[in-house]
Amino acid sequence: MATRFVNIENKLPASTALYYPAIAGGLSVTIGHFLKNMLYHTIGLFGNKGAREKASFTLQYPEVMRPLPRRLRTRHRIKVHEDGRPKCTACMLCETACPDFCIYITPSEHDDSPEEKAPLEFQIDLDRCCFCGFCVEACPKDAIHMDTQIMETSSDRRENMVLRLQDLVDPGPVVVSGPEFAGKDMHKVLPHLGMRKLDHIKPRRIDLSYRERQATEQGS
Amino acid sequence: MITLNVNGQEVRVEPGTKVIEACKQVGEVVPHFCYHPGLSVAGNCRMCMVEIEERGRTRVDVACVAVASEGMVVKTESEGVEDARRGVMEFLLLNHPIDCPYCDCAGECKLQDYYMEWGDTDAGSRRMTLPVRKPKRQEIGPNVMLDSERCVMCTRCVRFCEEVTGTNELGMRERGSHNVLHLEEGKTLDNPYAGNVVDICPVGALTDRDFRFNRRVWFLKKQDSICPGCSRGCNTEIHFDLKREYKRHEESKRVHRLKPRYNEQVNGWWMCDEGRYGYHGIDRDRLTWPMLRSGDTLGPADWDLAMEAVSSELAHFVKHPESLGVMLHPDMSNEALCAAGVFFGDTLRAGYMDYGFEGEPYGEDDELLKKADRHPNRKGAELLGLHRGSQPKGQMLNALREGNLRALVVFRWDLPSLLGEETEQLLSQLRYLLVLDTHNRQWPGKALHVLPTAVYAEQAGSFTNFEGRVQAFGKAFEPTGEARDEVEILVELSRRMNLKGGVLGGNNIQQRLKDRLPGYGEIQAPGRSVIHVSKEAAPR
Repeated sequence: MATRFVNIENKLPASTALYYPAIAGGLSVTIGHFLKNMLYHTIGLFGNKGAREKASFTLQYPEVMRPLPRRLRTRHRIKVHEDGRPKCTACMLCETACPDFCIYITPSEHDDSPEEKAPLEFQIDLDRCCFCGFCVEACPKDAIHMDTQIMETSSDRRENMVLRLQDLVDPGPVVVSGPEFAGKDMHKVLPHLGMRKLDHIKPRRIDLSYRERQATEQGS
Repeated sequence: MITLNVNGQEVRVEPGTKVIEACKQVGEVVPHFCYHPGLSVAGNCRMCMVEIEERGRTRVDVACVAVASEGMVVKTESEGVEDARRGVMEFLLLNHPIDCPYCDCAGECKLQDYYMEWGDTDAGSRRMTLPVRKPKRQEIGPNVMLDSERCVMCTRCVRFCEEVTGTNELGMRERGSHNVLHLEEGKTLDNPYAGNVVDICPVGALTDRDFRFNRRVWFLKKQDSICPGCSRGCNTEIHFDLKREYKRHEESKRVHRLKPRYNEQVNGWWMCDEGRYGYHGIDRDRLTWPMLRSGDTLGPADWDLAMEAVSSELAHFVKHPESLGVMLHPDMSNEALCAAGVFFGDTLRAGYMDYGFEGEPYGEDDELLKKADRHPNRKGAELLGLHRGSQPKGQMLNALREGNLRALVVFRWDLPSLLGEETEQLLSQLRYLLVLDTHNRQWPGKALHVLPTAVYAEQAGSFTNFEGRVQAFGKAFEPTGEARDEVEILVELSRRMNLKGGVLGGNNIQQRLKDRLPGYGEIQAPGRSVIHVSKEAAPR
């Protein structure tokens, strides 16, 4: 195949080809935001709460965490009955559905529970997990959920990445990573950093009536 | 022979054949719970409804009771049939606990399968009364667990205990929704064939206590095999799972259960519990490395070193083979026996060779399947002519007692149990003792080399049962650890020793087997098929 040279003419309109107006337009947006923020922050310093909420800010992650969307798939947990028994019956459907083979259940006979079968051990290897949520979909007992809001699952050891039944039943408090805060509760760490918790950032609300609205629209 | 029409296809059957069997001939499997070809007809589940047109009249009837007649027209799918099946399913599911998540039968359950086709998914919301509760988790025998709630009252198990074993442990009690399977007064379901009731139970009412909660059935792979428990050679299926090997299972268990495979001429649909639960040895206590003796201890070695050591020791006996004795084992496959026969008998010209010995344990015959000889391949060894030496059959160890043996090659035998108290004293006169074994056991102090060999599930081969029927079995998985197939070991040995009689190879073993074993040549695709035997799987 021979190489062919083609001359492409620049057919942009003259107004666009002269890009100075666009630069000026872009800068005006930036400068506008800067001035607006400075104004709100200055008013906020005098104690006006409404102005402070309008100002933009920087979150000091990982010391401060932004609340996550509720539907975000985060680390797994296993729900428990009122008496503390895990709801899981070791039916292995999550293990079957798992595309990464990261779930490993050891079933056992359970004498006390009406389900007669219970997991002796339930391991999830987070190194392998791709957070697809198939296990949650597959569970016939609604026992496994991915709503702990825990995203920081890194470790320097492979074996620490394997969640055991106890970790899943009791996910524990949200911890802040970083060497000096390792294992500490975020809310206890924050005051030491001279920071206040940003209460006014609420999690996004999920419109639960969406499905119903859709259904009525389709029906009508 | 009479001719009838099933779904537009002509079928020719013997007079007296049930319609359900005629349908099966054209590949139409009519859904059913209570019908089992190995048991009498009960006709109580009403699931096998088909539309039958006979002498100008059309009716919906149960296919397991209706007898095929000339000119009959059968439809397995029609509006009436569909209605009838849906009705039956509604009744069956009325009191069913729907505990599939922890029912061991899920995945191979007929009720579950039929529910997907004829179940009413909204029935639960229309249910007027609470389901009837019945006892769960009843240990009705050492191997069987009963869950009355899941039972569909097909009475297959009751008929099995009545007709096949004749022990009558089970019965039905009460009526209607309160109908319940129960154990007869003062009895437990402990007959030697009790495990079969789990196979024939179409739902999860009877579950296997040995298999219970081990592994879900959809993880299991299957391989056709032959039970090595006795000389009957029941056709079995090995159900195993290697999928989760990336993490070691707590017992590194590969085989999870054995199931009987239908063979009309050998075992029908059944197998005994001794064979069924005899699989544990496949994964338990296996010998995984070749062992060489240095001083008082046996230590592991790699195969190259072990083979070199064994072949150089055996080379001492090439010129005086008359003092070499070989103890073959009737648990070995025809192929391994033949390879050993050719190598030790014809090439090395061993002075003594035998496959049966005085003092080995025997069981007892029973009326159904079990044979007294608890080894699967004694007939094969007999037909291959593997006896050599001046001693009569079974008396080879007398040569050892008389001091005529200088070296002994032992396949799988437990010497102390055969020789008793004299073991140490008798073996002390040997110059060389080579052991080829599958399991770890207490080898006598004289054993110089111990080589690990594969068990039947780890090799493809064949057994010859007590009536001379050659039956092939397949290889389910690779041998554990460093164990190897006996044939492979012997071929390698003969290659290393390079004797005058020629090197052992697959061809001369196969040729010898075809010459000596009637029917061996008819096994197509070695390891897979079985001669004179239908491949049809056991119906559940």
